Amino acid sequence: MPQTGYWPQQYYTTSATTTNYIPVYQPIIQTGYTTGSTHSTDIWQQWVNTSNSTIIQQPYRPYQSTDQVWIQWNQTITPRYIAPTPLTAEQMQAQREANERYEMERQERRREQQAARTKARLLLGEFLNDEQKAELERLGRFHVTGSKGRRYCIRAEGQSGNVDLLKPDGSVQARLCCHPRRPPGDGYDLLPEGDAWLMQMIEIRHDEDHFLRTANVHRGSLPALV
Amino acid sequence: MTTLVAEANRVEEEEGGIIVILDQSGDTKHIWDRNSETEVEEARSLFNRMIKKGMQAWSVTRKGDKDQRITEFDPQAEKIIFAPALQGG
Repeated sequence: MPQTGYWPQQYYTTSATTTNYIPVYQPIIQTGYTTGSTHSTDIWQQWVNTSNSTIIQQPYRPYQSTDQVWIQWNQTITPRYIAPTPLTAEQMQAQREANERYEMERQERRREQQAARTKARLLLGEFLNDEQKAELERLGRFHVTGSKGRRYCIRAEGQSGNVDLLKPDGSVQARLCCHPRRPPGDGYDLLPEGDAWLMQMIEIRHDEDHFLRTANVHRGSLPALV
Repeated sequence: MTTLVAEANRVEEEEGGIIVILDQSGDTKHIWDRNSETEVEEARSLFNRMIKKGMQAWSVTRKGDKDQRITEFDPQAEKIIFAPALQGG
């Protein structure tokens, strides 16, 4: 029964809800919990002052009026839903046009990237011999002999971690990642893959030790470099 | 595109050199005539600009028997490729 001058104290369990009513100004009864203050206002103030510090595990204590503040707060604060303002016809039209512009730019960008990839593969083809070209077409990789005679396999799988240093028996000794940096300018894209493979090949056959020193090893280990 | 490459190859084989700058669009080619001082100077100017941008220059051949990194313009070079420096990934 609600009573004037009493605060409701509800206990929630999975099976039932029990409401007790306690006097608003009831002095705090403390058991196994010591503090210098006994008034609820003092305890609340103490909680506010100490809540930013490390939480200390306290022993079990019975109900205190500070709990009531938390319960009351949860019962009185209700989230409010604010419906969005409906768009006007002009705003919807502007939104449609913006979406269409974005889609056109995206498709144009995709066409440019495809053209760049094709162009890069053509340039790479100018530097590959017939055997390398056939290997690239058929198996998606090609082999390169380095300046010191080691064999490498450049796999047509992106430009990161796509170079394998081979052992004399043809097995993989190390998987390497070494690719051109982003070109200077406003763009954020790396070079097209064909260009990256070309530069990997040129660096390997010009100075493979420098290539090995620059590369990150993703798997395996490098030979001793002089 | 193929026509441009074929044209570049034809000029290169006859009496020209070619600078290939690798970029996000694939590449951009600049051809110069070794017999024209104006074109050689334009190519040299372009070469120096690209070096200032931090690009690395390679004088290369198709067979790879003359690959070398260069820092000064060589009017007699067959093909010069500009590319960003490699980095470990």
